[in-house]
Amino acid sequence: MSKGFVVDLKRCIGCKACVVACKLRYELPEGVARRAVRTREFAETPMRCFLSLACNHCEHPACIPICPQAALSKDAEGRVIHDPGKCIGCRRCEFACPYDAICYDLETGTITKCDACATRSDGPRCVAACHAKALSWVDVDASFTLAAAQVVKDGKALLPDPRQTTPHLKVVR
Amino acid sequence: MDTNNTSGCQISRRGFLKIMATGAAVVGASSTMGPLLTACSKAASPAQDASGKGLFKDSVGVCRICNTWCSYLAKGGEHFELWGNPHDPIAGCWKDGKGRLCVKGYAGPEKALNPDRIFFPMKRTNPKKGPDEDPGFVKISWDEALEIAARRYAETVENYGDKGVALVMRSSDWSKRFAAATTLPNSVGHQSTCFTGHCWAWPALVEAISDPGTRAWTHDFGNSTYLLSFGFDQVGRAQNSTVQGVIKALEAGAKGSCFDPQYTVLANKLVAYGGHYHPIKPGTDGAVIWAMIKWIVANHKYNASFIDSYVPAAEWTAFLAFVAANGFAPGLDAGASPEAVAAWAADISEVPATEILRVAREFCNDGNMKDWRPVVMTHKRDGAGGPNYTNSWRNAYAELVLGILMGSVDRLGADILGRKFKVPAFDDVCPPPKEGYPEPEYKAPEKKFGRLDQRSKWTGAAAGQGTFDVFKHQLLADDPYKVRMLITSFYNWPMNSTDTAQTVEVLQKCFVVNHCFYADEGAWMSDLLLPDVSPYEKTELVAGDSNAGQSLYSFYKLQEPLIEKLGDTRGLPDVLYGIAKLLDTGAHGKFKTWKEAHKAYADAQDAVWRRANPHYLKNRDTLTQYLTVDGTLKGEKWGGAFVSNAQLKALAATADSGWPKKLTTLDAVAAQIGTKGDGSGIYPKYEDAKPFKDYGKLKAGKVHLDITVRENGKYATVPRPHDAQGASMVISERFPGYAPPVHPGRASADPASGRFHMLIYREQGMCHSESKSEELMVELFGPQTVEMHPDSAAHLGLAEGDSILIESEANKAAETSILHLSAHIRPDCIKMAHGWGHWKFGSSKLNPNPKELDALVGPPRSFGMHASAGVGADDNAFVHARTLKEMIEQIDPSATVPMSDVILKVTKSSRPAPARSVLV
Repeated sequence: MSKGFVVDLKRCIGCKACVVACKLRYELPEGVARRAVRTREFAETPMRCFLSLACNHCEHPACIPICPQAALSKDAEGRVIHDPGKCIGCRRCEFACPYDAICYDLETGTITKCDACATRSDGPRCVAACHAKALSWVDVDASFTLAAAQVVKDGKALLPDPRQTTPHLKVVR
Repeated sequence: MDTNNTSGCQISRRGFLKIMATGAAVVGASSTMGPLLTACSKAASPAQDASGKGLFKDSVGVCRICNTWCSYLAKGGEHFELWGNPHDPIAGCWKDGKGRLCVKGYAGPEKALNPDRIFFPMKRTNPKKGPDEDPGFVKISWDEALEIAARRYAETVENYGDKGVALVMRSSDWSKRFAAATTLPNSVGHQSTCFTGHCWAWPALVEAISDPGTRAWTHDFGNSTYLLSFGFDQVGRAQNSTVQGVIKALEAGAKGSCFDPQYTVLANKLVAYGGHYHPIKPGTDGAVIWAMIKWIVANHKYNASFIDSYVPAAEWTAFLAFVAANGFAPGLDAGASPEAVAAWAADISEVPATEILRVAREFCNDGNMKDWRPVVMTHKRDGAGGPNYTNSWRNAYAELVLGILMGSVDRLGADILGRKFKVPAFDDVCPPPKEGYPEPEYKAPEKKFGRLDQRSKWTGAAAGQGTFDVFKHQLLADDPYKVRMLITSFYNWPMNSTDTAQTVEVLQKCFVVNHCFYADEGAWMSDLLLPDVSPYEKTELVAGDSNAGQSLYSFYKLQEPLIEKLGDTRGLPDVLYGIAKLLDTGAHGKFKTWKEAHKAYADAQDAVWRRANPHYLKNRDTLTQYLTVDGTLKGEKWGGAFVSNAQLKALAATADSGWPKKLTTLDAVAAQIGTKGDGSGIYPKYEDAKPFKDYGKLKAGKVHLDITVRENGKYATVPRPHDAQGASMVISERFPGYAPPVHPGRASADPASGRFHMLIYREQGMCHSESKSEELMVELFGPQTVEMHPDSAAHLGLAEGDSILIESEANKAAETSILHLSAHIRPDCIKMAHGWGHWKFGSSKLNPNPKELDALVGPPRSFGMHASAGVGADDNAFVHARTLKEMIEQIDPSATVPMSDVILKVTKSSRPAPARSVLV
């Protein structure tokens, strides 16, 4: 069974505790992150939302087939895993990902990305850190539709067309 | 990323985390640096000792970034993580077995390893002092540092008497006792910048709060059914208890309304859950509140049961008559309808009357009080519910009246009064000598010098601490006497007081002993730097009280060291005790002892006041006799606990205290709830705690609506000209309902000509101005911009990203920043984040640290707050510091700093404003 992130826009206050907890856990240097919170403003109420996004561990990831070293792969739980030992830092995956979820680390010369804390027994650190409980990491079910991965405000899509990669992402709003 | 260092250990600024993660470093305490040397050698090749303990240790602790003081659990070793303590009533609020902190809390431990910390005592070598003068600090020993402080103290007393020295710090048991023992009349704190509006209103109306100026209430938003905010945005500051409470309430179906000139994060959340946002004109909240009160009272939609029980009947009758007969404004005479009053408020506030009346109806659930728990969201740190402006006590008062009408005092889902163990007072368990404190000079019967800020001449609460504003004015004017030495602690004064330029002048005029943490502006302007200990290095026991965000029951939180002590630092008690000890016994300057210095001063001043106060030198044989614990001199122990062992012992011996008999020492408590015990870090835990009872702290007939009732010598709560108009002025006056424009800065904004109201806010990752020293937070929450409505910008020919010049009409201060356009602010306002504009110092080197320490905290750097130096505008610089004359004339009992009165002029700047990149 694959798992995916649920992002609750109603709950999220945009505080970036998820980003900070992740950066500290993985000792990511300045300018490098596996998760980011993007603020979007628009005319219709509630006029602003905070989108906390990391790798969506897509059903059809754009990053995996483009990697020349096979440094990216999906594990049994559907997580997209990066092997830094194989990575040559060519950054093709970074440019292929429609969600801008992959980051190049100048210090290591490789990319870095969210693996949903695959090695952490308690699940993703970001989820545990969120005091608004706006993030969760759950089994992908029927509610994870393409529509659930899309946010439209003022008639504009705030996220890329989910048909590209079928992200395991559900946005509650 | 900067990996350049000169220590020989290839560890960068963020490198300490890697040391910790590999579990390589073993750090011992100390000033000797021996253990740190070990750490360095291991850190250079971390893989050599993967079994070693990490830099951060398994521990329980208390986050002290903000005043919520959440308990945390730390897992050290490989992959260090900090969690909220699930047993903590705040961090474990969701009661799902997991604890959570806020964004600031997770990053908190970085502060202990910040390379901008001062780790060793230092003294200035350049006698010239100013923002552009390199202090030339050199490292010295603690012995020398304390000797300099003591010698200067004795010389100041010789020349100016006790009054010549002032304490600039938060009030504490230690500072109070030091001031009493030395008879210092001047001790000033920062609270007027924060919360004094409500600190005045609550003790005036709620008798369960016994002392004026007390912060004895807090909130329980999680059980609220309606959240009403006038400028409150602790959600936007990510305060843990507020965020969890608000989201919990909204998820349970609560609704809310937010009145604020800026579209805050709280407004965003309320709207997301079906609530409403009203872009109110700054400073007019009071008019809306009184219009709501008028409608609720006229339509009998209040909580009659609560009023019958807790409000004196005669007062209620008088209040009904007052509201019925009052239109609150000229032109609205007796009998004015609620609708007419709402129309008046709408005209002032620019919120439609229909909206005001709708919120009034919603807030009181149209009079149906069954299971209805509305709350006006106030906080001790939000002044009058949000912004601070001249006479914003009126807002605080009106908000509390609105809460009382709903019965929202000391009830779940509302404002609650603190529950805590009745810890014996410090003076009770550690009494001063039987002879009592010395008779201070300023109490001399024929010569009452009093405080420099002449606090006794103002109305209001918090009389003990005064305000920075008046203190600074009087100091610069030498009126009524001279102050020439300041002992300051914790504050970075230039960046957390009003009128930065004025604060700089004050610091130039005085010899400044600074018990500091960072190489900040306050340190730069000081003469002696005495480095403070990081809270993460301490062992302490903290009482869970009203200071802690939520206090549904009494509890204690344990702080164990997360990291061993770095450098050579000391806590405030040790500093004060160290100075006192030397004053008693050392040979300094002209005088051998403190007593001798005082005698010399007394002799010199004999004709003026010594004969009038023959007790002046009585009981002054030693200073340290007043600075004792358990009757013995234990200055070193002072830093050990917020609650001393003597207090614990007395607590355990009190029959009905509920405190276990065996827990009489900090060690015993630590053995039970620390990592060597059950690891809970909290006593008692949820399941063992005494259940909260609504109204359990109130007594019948003890909540007031008439602010004159408690007026007496102790509660100087009634705002009025001194002794001119009698005690009934406020309740009988034609209540203006909003803060009158009595201050020059109160002039109206005019966006078409580039004049705006100033609004401030705090980013979620930042707390004080010191937060700007944290690289990670600046990376995530910079760059600092000033926000303006696009329509206003278009009028002025300004565009997104422009460099702008901002000038204050109140004090002529000028700053530059970068413009950001957003429709989520009123066109007549601009807003900026608090605490930016740190000085970019010259080339002064600040590298007294041994290389071994640099290996842990980063490479040597010059003086300053490097993460943010030179970035953004200093909001404090714009704020007018109220003078003594203004303070008396304006009759403002809350004595708040009028930061929301400021009008700023904005023009395009030809000088580019510096900025940092931001990670989005």
